[in-house]
Amino acid sequence: MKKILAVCGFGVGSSMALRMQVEKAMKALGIDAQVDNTDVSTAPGMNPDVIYTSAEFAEQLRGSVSCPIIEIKQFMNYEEVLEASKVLQ
Amino acid sequence: MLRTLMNQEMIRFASKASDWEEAIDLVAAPVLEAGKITPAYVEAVKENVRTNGAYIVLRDEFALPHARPSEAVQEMAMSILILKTPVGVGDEALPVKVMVFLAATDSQSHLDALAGLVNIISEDDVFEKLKNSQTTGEVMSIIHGNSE
Repeated sequence: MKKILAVCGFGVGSSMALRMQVEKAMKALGIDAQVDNTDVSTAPGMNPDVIYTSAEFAEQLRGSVSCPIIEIKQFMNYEEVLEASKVLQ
Repeated sequence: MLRTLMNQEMIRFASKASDWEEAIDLVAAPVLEAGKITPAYVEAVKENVRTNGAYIVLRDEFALPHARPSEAVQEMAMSILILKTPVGVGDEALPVKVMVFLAATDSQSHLDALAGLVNIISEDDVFEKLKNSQTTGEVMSIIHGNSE
């Protein structure tokens, strides 16, 4: 099972919205995954397999994580999340 | 839970805002007036957009301005602003017509309400109705029809 993190600045709003779209995409693509959400400073310590976040936060995370980071422009755009998730198949 | 949080007083309309900062002031006003947050929280929300960019624009025409739970939040709150003319948010000036202002006290309490909101906003036809709403009653019926 893949351990996935949806990440935003504070882990309270946007990352939750993103997590819901990622969960939906994982189901649609038939990928076995556990999706959680958190803030940008907590994320590296959680050792995820994949991170979904914005371009700005991806920039901040690159120095501290080695896992793949999937950049999403609009966290609530299911089509965008689905398309970007196909690399995990 | 979304219905309890986003009651009639928390729904606002405006024909336009001169910039995204003014739009945030407009959407934050009812929460501020109700004494649920202090002005410091509104400033933190604006700072988040300045620092981290327009990632709060979660879909076309929708933004979720918010900041970290802090002592500037006395009580969990959510308010909504519907603009007739879109306002540009962030450096790329992404057009936004609907703003939901979120003030959380911790990372858990508001999740039910937020999930309800995401369900409404992510459905294209429901969002279409919401952004074209002109009365509090219309917004209330969308929230009631689509959430717990």
